[in-house]
Amino acid sequence: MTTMTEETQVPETATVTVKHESIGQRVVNLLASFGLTITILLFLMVLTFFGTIEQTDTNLHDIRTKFFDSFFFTTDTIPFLPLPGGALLLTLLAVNLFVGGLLRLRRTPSRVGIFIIHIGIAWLLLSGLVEFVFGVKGYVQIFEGESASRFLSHNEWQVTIAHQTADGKERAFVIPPEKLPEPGSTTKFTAEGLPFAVELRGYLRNCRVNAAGHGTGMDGYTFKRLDDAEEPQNNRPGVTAKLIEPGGVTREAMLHSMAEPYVTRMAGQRWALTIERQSWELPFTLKLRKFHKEEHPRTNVPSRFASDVTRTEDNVDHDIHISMNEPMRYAGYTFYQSGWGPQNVPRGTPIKRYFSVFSVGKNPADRGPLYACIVIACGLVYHFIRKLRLHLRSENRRRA
Amino acid sequence: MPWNKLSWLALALVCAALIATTARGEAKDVTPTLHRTWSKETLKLASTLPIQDRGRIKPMSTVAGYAMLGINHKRTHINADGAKREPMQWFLDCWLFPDLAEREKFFVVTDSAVLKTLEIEVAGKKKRDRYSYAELRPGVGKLFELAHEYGPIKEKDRDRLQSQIVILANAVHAYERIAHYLAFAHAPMQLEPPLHGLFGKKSIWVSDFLTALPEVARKTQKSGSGLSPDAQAAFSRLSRDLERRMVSARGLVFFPPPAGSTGKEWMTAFDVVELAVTGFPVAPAHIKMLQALEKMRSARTDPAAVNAAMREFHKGAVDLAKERGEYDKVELEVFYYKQDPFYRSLYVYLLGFILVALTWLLPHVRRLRLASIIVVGGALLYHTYGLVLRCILRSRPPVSNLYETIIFITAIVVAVALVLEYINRRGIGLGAAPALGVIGLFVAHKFELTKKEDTIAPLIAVLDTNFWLATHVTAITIGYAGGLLAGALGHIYVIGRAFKKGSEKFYSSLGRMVYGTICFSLIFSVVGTILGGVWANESWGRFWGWDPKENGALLIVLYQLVLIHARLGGYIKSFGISMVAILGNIVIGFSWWGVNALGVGLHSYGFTSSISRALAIFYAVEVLVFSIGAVYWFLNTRPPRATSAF
Repeated sequence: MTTMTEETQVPETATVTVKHESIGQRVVNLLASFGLTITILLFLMVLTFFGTIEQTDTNLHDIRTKFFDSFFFTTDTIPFLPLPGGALLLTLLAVNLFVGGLLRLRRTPSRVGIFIIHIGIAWLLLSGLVEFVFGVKGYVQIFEGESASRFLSHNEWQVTIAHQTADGKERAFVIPPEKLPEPGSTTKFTAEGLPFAVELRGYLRNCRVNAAGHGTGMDGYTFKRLDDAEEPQNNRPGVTAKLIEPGGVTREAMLHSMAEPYVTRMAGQRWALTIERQSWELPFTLKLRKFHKEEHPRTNVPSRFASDVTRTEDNVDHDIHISMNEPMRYAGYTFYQSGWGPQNVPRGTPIKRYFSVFSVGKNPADRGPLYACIVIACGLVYHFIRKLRLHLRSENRRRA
Repeated sequence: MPWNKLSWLALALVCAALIATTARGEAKDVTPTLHRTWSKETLKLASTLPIQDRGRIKPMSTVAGYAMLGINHKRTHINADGAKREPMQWFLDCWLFPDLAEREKFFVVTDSAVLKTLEIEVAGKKKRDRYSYAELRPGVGKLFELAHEYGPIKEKDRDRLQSQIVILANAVHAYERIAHYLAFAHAPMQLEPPLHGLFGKKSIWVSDFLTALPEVARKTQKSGSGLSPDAQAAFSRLSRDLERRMVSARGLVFFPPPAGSTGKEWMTAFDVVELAVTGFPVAPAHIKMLQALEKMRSARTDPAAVNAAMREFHKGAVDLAKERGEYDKVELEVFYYKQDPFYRSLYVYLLGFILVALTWLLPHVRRLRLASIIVVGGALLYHTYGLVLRCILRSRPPVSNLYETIIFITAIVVAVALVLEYINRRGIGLGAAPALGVIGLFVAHKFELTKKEDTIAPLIAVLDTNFWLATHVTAITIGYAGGLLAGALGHIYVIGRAFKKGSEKFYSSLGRMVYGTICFSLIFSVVGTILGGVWANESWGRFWGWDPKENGALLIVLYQLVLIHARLGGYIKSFGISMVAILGNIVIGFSWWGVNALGVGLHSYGFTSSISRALAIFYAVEVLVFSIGAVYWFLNTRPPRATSAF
């Protein structure tokens, strides 16, 4: 039954069977095939569906790690079957798009639109990759009248070992988040200029310090493991650190994110150890002059919140207004108005000083998605309008 | 003749009904009932009164309409004496005659278990029944106590009883804020003898008290010795009486601040009095408005006096609102609700569908086709007119909440179906347009009735941007519309094939329509989804956060890409495209509504269990149609080789 024109149409990317094709050729054919595209897209649907449904029980940070940043994942529904994760699928999609949608796409006028669309999608994927590899995200909280020149990570923590050098400057050794030990394991660190080794063990993502009773724990205290907070940025981690001097002198300390730094004397110097949020230095200082908050009259629904800030760089001040949908972009950094406080104050209670919370992002591909969107839209519109015109012509012929 | 028999039967039924009515009339309860005839002018003045409610200025008629909907679950009520009450009439009944209104049964309780919990016993009631405020009153204290306890529980986590209690508490609260408002204007306050000289009278209205207050303060300061102990005690009792009267006058915020005031918040009668007794000057316009309320309440049985007082109050409120530039859209909103363009369009679409159906029965009558095109086109125009009115009222594109997305998507679906008809002229688009118009506007109507909330609510800060609403949200909703239309056409294809109706030419044309509509939808879905990411990057600092709503949009793009690539790869043809389009409806349903039910993410809006039920029914229908198609394919068109396309 071949009454419809589309039923006789040749597939656009020709996957014509060639006899005696080499293994390499077969692999290229597979990577360029519609079959692979459809399979990837279907698995992406499965991934997205489970990654959405499981958000009712799991926080978004863990969902991202489990589903979208992974190569494989399993679900509670089918725990025995590993399914391809976001990292694997997006990699395959990029390869498939590059080979099938760009390299092997026939260069005919009818394919111009499709080629443009694929360029746009490739651009979008590339922007995502650049952000994933080089992007940094965090936040900064500033009270009215105060300044900040660092921003902090939402979820990542580091151990910092600091001391004052002879010239009065602070020198810090940092154990970055990715090197903190997995729960139950121990990791040892040494560094040039650090006169002792640091052994970290018993790292807990969310815990509190509990009295352990006489003769147990460390000085009668121990960490009590807690369930992860609903919002991962509210986790309070802890880790046990052992400082080992080559001479055999050791010190042991419990570092907790809510506790004061542990201060000790090793190798004739005072050292301070702390577990703190990962942070990054800004090339300028930001001062919050005034925070503005408005609500729809006689409701608690915010209608607008914004901050008047002063950016200072090389002793030059710039006054800037940051509000919802109007971020500040400067020197590769973007500052977004994301929150404020103090909140949950009873109605009518005067607030002496507000603070403003800015999300801070450094993403070399910040504008990539926008440009990709424009390219894709142009390609789609061109291709489908062309198709529509052809269809209208054939309809007119039919009616004539 | 059968007709004659029917006529006699009808006459007999009418007579029986008349006798029954008369019999009921004889045994009628002699309790006074509400059958006030409010003059047209009074109703118009009351309707166009500006009021600040839920963060915006709106006409009183809007407040009355939604209050009535929340309490009565309908926008009309039949009183015990058979009189039909529209929202403004009902509002004035409750406002000025609370003693009579409290006996009218307009509170809908959907589960009598609620009353059992509240220890209220009313004999002869069904599980779902109507109650008067007087019947509920004994349990109101406990009702609010429980609602206070259950309120903080997330809507999706409440059990049925808890939900019903919160709903009933909201209804009772809405009633009380109207019915108890004028308690202060019921009668003048009695002055005790030690105060007679001070005020120069034996009783005093609240408005007069406020007027006299500065003079009284001046007098007592002038005398040097202040008030005598007796007068002080009497004044203290008077203050308590005033406080008791005013405490219920906090529900309606219709005193615009006087000229020169920069605050955004309007005031209640309570606020005006509180301001005066704490030593602040009261605007003369506010005193006049209070006097008008007192006149209205005290002369409530005299329609002319009520009308005069209403006119006075209206003038005071409107003049102040105009001075602040906050009255511009009040009358337009009254006009919009009076027009009720979407509900009326629904009926015009229905008429259009009937005409289209007639063209199928009588294909040789060409004028029928023309008439149906005119009616469906007219319905779309009226529907669009409603959307334009909303745009003017909100000064935004009509896509800022779920209700608006329904009416907007319906308009797009109908418009695209008519464009398809223009292209193909086989009657498919013409048939689909009014049918989908009816379904869409019916869903919108039911949604409004279920939510019982103002559909023109103010936006939260992040949504307060016309640029992104006009680009991202509009594009996404047009994408939904295209996908849903393709799914609907897919239904026709699959069911038609399964029941072997229609020619091959018909299916050829229909298949192309489904595919073309998916392509149309894909353009908007892709662009809308990426623009959403760009907006998120501007507002929240990340392009993509795997938020449920974002994932829903991505799912739509993915299913449409699967469909297009499967067709290009030769895996599916018209039948397969239609089947995928039907499954696509489930994806769109999940993205549009389902993700909200999850109650997580940045885009989570209020959701009720009845909406979840409706969504489940929608999914079931789509699965059923898909299953019919699958069975048909398996039995009839499955080709001998497994690798061939379907």
